[in-house]
Amino acid sequence: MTAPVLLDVRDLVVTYVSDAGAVRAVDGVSFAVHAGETVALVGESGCGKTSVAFALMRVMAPGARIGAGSRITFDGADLLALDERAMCDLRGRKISMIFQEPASALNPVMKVGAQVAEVALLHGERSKRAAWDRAVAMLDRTGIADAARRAHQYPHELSGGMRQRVLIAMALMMRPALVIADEPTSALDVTVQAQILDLLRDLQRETGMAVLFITHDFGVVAELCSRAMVMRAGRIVEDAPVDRIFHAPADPYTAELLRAVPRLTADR
Amino acid sequence: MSDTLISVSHLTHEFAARRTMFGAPQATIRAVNDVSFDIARGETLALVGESGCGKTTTGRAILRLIEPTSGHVTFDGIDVLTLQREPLRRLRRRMQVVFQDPHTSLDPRMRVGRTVREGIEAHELAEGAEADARVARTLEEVGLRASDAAKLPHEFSGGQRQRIAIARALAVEPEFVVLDEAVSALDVTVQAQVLALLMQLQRDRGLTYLFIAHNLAVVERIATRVAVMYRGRIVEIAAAAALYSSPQHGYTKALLSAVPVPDPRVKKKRIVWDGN
Repeated sequence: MTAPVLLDVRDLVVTYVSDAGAVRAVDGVSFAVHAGETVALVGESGCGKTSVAFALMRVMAPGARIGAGSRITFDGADLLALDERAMCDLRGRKISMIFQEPASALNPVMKVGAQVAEVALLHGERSKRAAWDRAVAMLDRTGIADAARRAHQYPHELSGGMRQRVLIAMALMMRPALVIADEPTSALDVTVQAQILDLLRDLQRETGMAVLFITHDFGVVAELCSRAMVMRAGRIVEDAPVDRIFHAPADPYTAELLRAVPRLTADR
Repeated sequence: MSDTLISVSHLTHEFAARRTMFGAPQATIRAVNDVSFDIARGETLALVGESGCGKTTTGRAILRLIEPTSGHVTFDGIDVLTLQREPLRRLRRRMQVVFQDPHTSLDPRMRVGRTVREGIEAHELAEGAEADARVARTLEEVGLRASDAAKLPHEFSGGQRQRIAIARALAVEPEFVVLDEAVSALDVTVQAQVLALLMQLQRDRGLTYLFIAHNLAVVERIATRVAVMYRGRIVEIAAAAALYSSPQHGYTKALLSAVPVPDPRVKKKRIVWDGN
């Protein structure tokens, strides 16, 4: 009962060009994400995992180039052939992204309700009033208590965990088929992280969205994902169901990473 | 019995949360609220809690990087909080600190050798070739090369930079080091190496650590005792083995249950603490 392939990435190469020369941050990465699946892309800092995410969204840093032979197919469409307008329409509606730092991903001078509502307005909602109501409903769904009042607040008035819920509300507003979550809990305290992971799991079950979960934390991978891809120096060194990754890793680097993960004695 | 090196009693620190237009504080936040503990010579006391709980403020108050509102801190019998400028300066050689982010805690334009040497000269421990030798020795002790002294911080990885920060702290031969989230920003493989280094240095030099962290799983490896802090107060303090195997306070239990298990076969029961 394999779900259809939603995202297919073949031979993805991302190069950063600067005065100092060119660096291949992503060096020939191929993988697929099936509809409704939660997959982890795991690796240490600098391994290229965030560059993969940015390439999928086609938000490229200055000097970053996607290789000519790279192919990204999403829901049957050739992503790299889309013009910017078509890509804008896709972003937020079919593929959305949750970033690590909710403090910097939100606009500090705009009410959080308006930021969530904006997503709907950008994607066809004509009525500001209806967009606002949908935003409040979405904020409520992400577990923000008293959402109608909170929607009128600014990011600095919310805790880190609540800001992350706002970002999740923005990402899920249009019920996208794929959500790319780039270290969405890494900046949060463990108790808040646990709540956000529970929320993502619930929303994933409810909406049937696929999640590409980018992280350095194997604890989070084990909690949330069914499959994991381990990345090192721009390449995927292992791609397997989590049980195999954790209990019979095929690649020595995966094994080394797992050994280094701090774990409580009581959890061994 | 154990020989107490640091004693903290009834330490309290308040920040002005809001000020009137004339600058007078209108409301205060008690970041550290009546905190007391001792640290024995040679042990590692871990101070654990979530962001904003007051753990870093406590560490800074002990080092007198801030002036706490009230309370007492003694170091080897010396009253730290009433020391005048010069004796405080001399005491600072004996107590050092390593911060979380090696990218911001090192001067980007200062060569590593000078960074490590600065304290040696400030405290007149050595000069000239003898100081050079001491810099080289310290760099090697933390797993770097003596020749790294000529390099600038940007030439190093995050883990290596944290080793430089450790070398800078150790160059003046302190007895006590505050490690404020010193491994939190590092990748797990590097984190494991730096933790092993810190433990090795502690054995070699008989160091005493205050290890400030938010990750209970990281702390377990290094701590002799653990103090759990919540909203400015220590809610539980116990020997590490006891705290991990039978936590007493609801908040400690919640904190332990929130640590994700790196094993998909294990599903841990999550304990939520409502704050009472």
